[in-house]
Amino acid sequence: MKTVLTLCTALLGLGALLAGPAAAEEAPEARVIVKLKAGSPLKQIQAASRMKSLGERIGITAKMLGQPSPELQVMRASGISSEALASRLSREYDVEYAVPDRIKRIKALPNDPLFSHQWYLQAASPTQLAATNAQAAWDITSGTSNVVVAVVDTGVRFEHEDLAAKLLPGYDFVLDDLNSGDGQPGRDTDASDPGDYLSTSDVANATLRAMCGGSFATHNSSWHGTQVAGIVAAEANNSRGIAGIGGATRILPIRALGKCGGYDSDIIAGMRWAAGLAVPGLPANPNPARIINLSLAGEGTCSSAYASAVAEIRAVGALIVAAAGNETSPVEEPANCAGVLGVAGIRHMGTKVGYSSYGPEVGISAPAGNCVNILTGQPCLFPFVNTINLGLNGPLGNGYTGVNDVTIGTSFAVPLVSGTAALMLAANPLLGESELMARIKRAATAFPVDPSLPTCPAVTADGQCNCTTTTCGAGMLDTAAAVALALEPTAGITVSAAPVVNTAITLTAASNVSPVSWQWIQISGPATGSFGSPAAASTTFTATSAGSYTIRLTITDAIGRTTSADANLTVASAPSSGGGGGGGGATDLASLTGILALALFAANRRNRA
Amino acid sequence: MTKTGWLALVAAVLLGAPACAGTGQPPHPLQVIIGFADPTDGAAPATLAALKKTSGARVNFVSSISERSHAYRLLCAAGDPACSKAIAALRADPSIRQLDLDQKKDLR
Repeated sequence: MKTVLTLCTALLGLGALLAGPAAAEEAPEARVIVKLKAGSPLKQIQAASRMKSLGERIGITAKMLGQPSPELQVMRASGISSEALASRLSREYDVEYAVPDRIKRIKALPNDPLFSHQWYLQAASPTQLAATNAQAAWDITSGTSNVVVAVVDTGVRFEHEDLAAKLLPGYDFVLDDLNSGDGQPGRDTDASDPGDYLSTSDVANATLRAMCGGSFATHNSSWHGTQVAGIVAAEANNSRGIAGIGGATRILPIRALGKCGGYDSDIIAGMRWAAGLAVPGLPANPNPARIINLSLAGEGTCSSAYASAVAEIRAVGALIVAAAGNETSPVEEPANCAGVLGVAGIRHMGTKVGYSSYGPEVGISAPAGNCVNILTGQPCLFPFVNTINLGLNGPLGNGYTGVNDVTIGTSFAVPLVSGTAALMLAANPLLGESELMARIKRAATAFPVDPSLPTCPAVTADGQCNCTTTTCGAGMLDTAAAVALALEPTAGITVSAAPVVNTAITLTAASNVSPVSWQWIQISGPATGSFGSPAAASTTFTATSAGSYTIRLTITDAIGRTTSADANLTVASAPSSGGGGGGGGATDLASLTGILALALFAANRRNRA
Repeated sequence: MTKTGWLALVAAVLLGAPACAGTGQPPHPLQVIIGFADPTDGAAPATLAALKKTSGARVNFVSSISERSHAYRLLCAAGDPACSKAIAALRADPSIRQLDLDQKKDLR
């Protein structure tokens, strides 16, 4: 008995010890990262006081813990969870976003030996303000092989040790044999890069000379597609070379550029095929891409050929990311096409790199590589380190560009954005292309100001300037913030059938979170329709008149975050009665149901009301 | 024409020919992308005949981009007034929704 009593006493004592920490956990402590809108009146006061004032406004005692960047503050408050505080702050009219400041586990850096030279993937710091924080994004997601990025470029070297496992078969769209130089007539299934060199015999070829026009001199192969593909998806943690920004993302190589570049017709056909659209005479693409990377450009405004293709590709949900150009000029085609996410290049310190083109069509800026005012013979300090082939003309062994080579260009800023979008899709596969674009922009870091430089569009003699949102896009790419924003709720609407007057159709909500409430309302339409279950995940909708209706779904998740999606319905008149052939109706309706069971992931709009 | 005149003409031709060649490259056929209003078999002889009739130029099919959009080579050189006329005529054709020059892009 004594033994039993002793044991009980010990257990009670242990229970009391355990009760201490448990009680402490009941008083939550919140940490939230807050970004204020540009016009917030709180920006008129000192940073340290902003969080206190904002807290007072919502009835809590808060203080600022830190300021990761000029635009971001970390708020701390007691007696409320981070999720709840973030939710309450998100509803404030002048808060751009508020997200919990979560603890991340320390993860080993990739063991790729050249990773330490990939400065653009590391955390932003006072000495490299433009670095993309990709490393922190990998703590949220390591990407997925389900997401495909099409690299429309010169093709790739399939045998590259850092790429081989990440490459899909792709396709070669370079039609002209001289332009192609691969010895295979016309378009074919081999997207490998034979080299885009110009030899002395190439230069002596009158037909090729006429095709190329402009400056036409011998040069070595660029292996450009292999470089771009590596920035997106070089295999990480394989003890070789470099790490791609997109983690497990796969690459669909589309060869559309050869000697002297590529024709619009080949590029556009390649873009369409990459997105899964039909190109006459070609087999269907078994691996449609959600992101299309265009590290290419040419002068001119957006042609109707590009505009049409961009509209078609966006309609099937693929994001197009393109280089602004390297001409210190207005944004080039196709980055200047509406609906394309144009990327300008910035230096390691966040100002526009001299060569980058710029203008209002730019959506985002990202590091493009710069050499920091080197004198002749000095090393380039902030270049890219890329996968490449070592052959000067045709392919030889594979390798990497030198850590101090002049490997720069807006071409290399684009795959940083494409890889970021791929990580976002891995985190939230329901994001549509417009939401991807919007969230990349929302997550961007504000441009710094170097007082020694003019403000764009004015530039120094070598093209540098302080970026603005009307010349270099929304800000500097922040991969970690973009991936965090990708996790915010997404809503979508599935429609069961083609709507007909006085016939109920079923609308079903889709989301990447588990909503706790749903609200269906009619925004517009020729007459008021009726919902069967306006507060359920699925409802019927019956319209009483023909015409166009807009239906809005608003969902709320367990921590109070809300988001909305709209569906545009065209309601047809009821078929006239008395006609023959009614027996076929069931089949037709079934077909329509299948065709129209579309996920209409309309542009989500955060409802802060 | 006098003998001197003939000699002058021959000399001009002989001197001029290399000079013309020296101005650079042979004219390269103009390549365009035509977007049709309706789905069209871009390589069909009937399509090519219609394009030739409309433009007044020889037209070769190059490639398909979509069921409505195809690339063609007009056998006239860029800058040739006949080419400009051909393009204007094609753009005025109601069966053609859009016509763009098929230009080159380069890596950046």
